[in-house]
Amino acid sequence: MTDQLFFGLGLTLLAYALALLLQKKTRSLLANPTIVAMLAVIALLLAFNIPLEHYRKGADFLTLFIAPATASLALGIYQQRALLRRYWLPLIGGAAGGSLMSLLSIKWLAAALGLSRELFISLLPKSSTTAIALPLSEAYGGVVSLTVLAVVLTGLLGALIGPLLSRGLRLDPLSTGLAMGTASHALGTVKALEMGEVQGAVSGIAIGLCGLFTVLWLALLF
Amino acid sequence: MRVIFQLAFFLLLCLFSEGLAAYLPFPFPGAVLAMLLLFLLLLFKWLKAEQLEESGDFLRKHMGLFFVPPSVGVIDSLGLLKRELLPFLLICLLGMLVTFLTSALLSSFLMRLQDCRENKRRSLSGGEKL
Repeated sequence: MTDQLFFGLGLTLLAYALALLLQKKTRSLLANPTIVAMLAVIALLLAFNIPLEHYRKGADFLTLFIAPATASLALGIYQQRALLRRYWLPLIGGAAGGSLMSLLSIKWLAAALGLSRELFISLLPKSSTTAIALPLSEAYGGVVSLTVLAVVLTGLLGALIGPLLSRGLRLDPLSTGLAMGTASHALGTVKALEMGEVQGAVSGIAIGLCGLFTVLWLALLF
Repeated sequence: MRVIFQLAFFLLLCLFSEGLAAYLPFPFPGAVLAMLLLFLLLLFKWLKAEQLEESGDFLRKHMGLFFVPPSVGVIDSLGLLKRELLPFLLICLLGMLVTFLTSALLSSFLMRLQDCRENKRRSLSGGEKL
């Protein structure tokens, strides 16, 4: 029965809807809907010994929408174009430098810790948003599911630690938003929106810029 | 009907971008190209943001849903993850800190630089008027 297309699709939608409900109830950043739904699906597959291929059959339909969702980020950046025009230098410079240092720091750390190449490549694009990190990981030979984990974990850490750093360093709202979006993509942006209007708007722009620069740096340097 | 047109637009935009990306000499995710193209379409006013509102809002709001299936694939890599869990976590934390600090400090430095230059320009042009 589980090899029906309905299975993977229905299960994913149900798990995600329940995860959204949990997030609404707890209002906690840790109740990230993607991770909660992932854990629920994995638990079910393992508990009933259902093969991953059966789940994939229906669920892969949803994966198709990652690209349109990434494209739709352009709408948010377009809405903030006045801000982008006014502060193009700090925004573009900060995102370019941040995404470059993300790649270099991962490269150095991976070498220092003796990481396997597979895991190193999977971690490499983790600072960009999932929709951008995922195809990059695939193109350079990483493990896609590990990249998703690394991206979400990085996002959670940034959303938790970012506000403390911003206060400790007395950062201005623009630089705070930029760093939240560059270091921890959409999860950082959720937190940045809570911190203020400028922070949220800039953070949204930073997601797109960081993704774009990650693509370019990888092509140039790796 | 509006929403169906919007979805058709998004999917065909991605199809076009994937095709175009194949001609680029380095890995360039078709999705990023689609994002760039959509931004240009909006900027040059060939499209209005309102025309894509319903689907665009849904796609952005529930982006997390589309990542559930690929993340479930971690079942197949549990062995690799278990072997290198500690370095994995450490790199996620340290990499995030380095990225945050670089972009924040660089941005606040460049902002001061830009403000400084603009103030100078403003005071110069003000001087000419006098």
